[in-house]
Amino acid sequence: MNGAQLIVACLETEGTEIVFGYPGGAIMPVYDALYDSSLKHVLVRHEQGAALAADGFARATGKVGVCIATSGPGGTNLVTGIANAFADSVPMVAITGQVATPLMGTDSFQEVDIFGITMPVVKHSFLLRDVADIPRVMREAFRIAAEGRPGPVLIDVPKDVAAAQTDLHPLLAGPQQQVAGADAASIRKAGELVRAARRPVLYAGGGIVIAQAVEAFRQYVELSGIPVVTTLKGLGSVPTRHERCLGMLGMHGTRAANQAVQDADLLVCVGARFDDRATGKLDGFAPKAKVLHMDADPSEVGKLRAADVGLLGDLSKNLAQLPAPVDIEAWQAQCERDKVEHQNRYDAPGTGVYAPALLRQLSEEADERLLLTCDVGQHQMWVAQHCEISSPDRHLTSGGLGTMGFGLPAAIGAQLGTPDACVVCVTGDGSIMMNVQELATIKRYNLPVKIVLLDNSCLGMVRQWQDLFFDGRQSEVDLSDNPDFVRVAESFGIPAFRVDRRDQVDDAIQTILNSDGPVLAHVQIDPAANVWPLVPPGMTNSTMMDEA
Amino acid sequence: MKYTLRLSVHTAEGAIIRILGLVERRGFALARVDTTSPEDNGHLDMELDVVSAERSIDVLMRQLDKLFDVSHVLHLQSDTRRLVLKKGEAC
Repeated sequence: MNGAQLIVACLETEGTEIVFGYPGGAIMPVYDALYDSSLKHVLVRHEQGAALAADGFARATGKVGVCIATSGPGGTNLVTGIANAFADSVPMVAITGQVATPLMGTDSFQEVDIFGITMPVVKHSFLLRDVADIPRVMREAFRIAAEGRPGPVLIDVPKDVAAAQTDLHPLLAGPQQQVAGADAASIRKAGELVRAARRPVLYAGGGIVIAQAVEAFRQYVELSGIPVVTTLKGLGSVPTRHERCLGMLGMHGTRAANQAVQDADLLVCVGARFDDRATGKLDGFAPKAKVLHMDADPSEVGKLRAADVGLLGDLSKNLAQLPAPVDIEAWQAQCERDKVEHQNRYDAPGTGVYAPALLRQLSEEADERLLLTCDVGQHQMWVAQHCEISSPDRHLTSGGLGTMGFGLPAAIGAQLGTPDACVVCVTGDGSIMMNVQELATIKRYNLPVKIVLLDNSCLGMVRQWQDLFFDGRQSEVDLSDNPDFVRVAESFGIPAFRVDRRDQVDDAIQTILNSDGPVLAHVQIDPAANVWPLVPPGMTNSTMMDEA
Repeated sequence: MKYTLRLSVHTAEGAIIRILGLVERRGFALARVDTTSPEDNGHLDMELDVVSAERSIDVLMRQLDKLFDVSHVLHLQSDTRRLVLKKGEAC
């Protein structure tokens, strides 16, 4: 057996079934080993697609996503996807080929220091200089990627190490370490905070689904009756239609959510990190609230907002120890009134397609198999604001890094990881062009991914900000010379159709949801449509702009 | 504000650059770096003077502690008062 065969054997031992990748010179020994393996290799058309598909696979399944690329440009093309996984705490193992060790440091063909380049955006990384290290490094990589706060791990494999002979075998994973809950004293202090609160708010983040604590969180919401606001990645921690859910907070959050946080006397932060898109101007965020911060990552507690009490360790165990507050009926009623008063409206004038209404209707008419992936921009915010989301792992969105081009490869990974899901990628005319080549991957594997392309012929979110905050000076946002996206899709062998008017939406949604195979709906929307409401940059969440 | 940190580091490839990169990326300036390897046992001791006007040294210690090559982080506050961060703890 050579090193490459041992690497593939380690992947099989870790339970990996699917890997996403693209072959090339230095990684050829690994591809030769894949030829005989039980692993399903998904050939993408750009290495960034491999990393983002592995990311989507991991988010949808909770398993470690695996991507493979060659040295040099293969590795650098992975970087955005690795950074995306790092920003959103997604478990991933990225394997890169490297030039042979005697050539390293000589500027040889397709040599780049990917170990160094990725250092700020990985949870950990390894440079394999000895074939004897392969079993240990592979086992550690999977353990590190998945344990605690997950993240990407890079393994750089020089070609001569991959070709070296060995008689070693993969290491088996040991028993999974049980994560303890917080200490009793901290739990007691947390309980005192909750019991003393009269206006508590649960601030739910993506850490809930990562910690597999969705059920425990929902039980606590039912027990406590505390109103819930969520981050972008926390959407679905309770179903968005739940009576206690006030929606997303922050820059494009709901008025009810932001008002509740600003009025709260206790903020129970569960698996969230006070990100600037959620908090607005930090020193004006939840100004009257004490903070109970629950997180698996000790470095997040107190990073941006001091916590009165921090609860580390297992989220489910800690949530189960929290008491219900007392005497919050008036507060619940106030939150409910705000929610009703500021609920979304879908009666936009005109006959053109109103994107929020289309997205709302799509999510209402879909069944429980719906899994949404988003790209980045206005459409991403409309999905967050208007779609019914049943669970965080049914809404895959690039939250931390905001990676245009995420949606399509993430949909590929999610569809392969959850074959029974109805995967719908909501994208924009800017975003889809970032990874449009992955339409070929959808066709090659005949994946039934549905694509809703909201086309406003511009970079809508940038245009909106230029209109609002740069005196309307629209700089380099015009995309009116877009290709004909229907013909683009059809040239890849994917059926596609246009939606130009509101009276076509009902039929379009039925076609999207009932197609057996992939389909692309090219939806023309108003180029002047904006995302509302909006907290202007640098302002507190009390300052929300709305449509004039 | 200047702080002195002492780290116990596993001498894996990239460990030192990973630590120094994190310190600067998290908003601290490096004023001094000393490394010694008292024994040939795969570990080295590292002492850093780091400077920041507004960032929390407690948070930086926890961020350093998360690195897999770092086994201990110690904040040298004075000769008599030392704060040790054990792996995985909040300050």
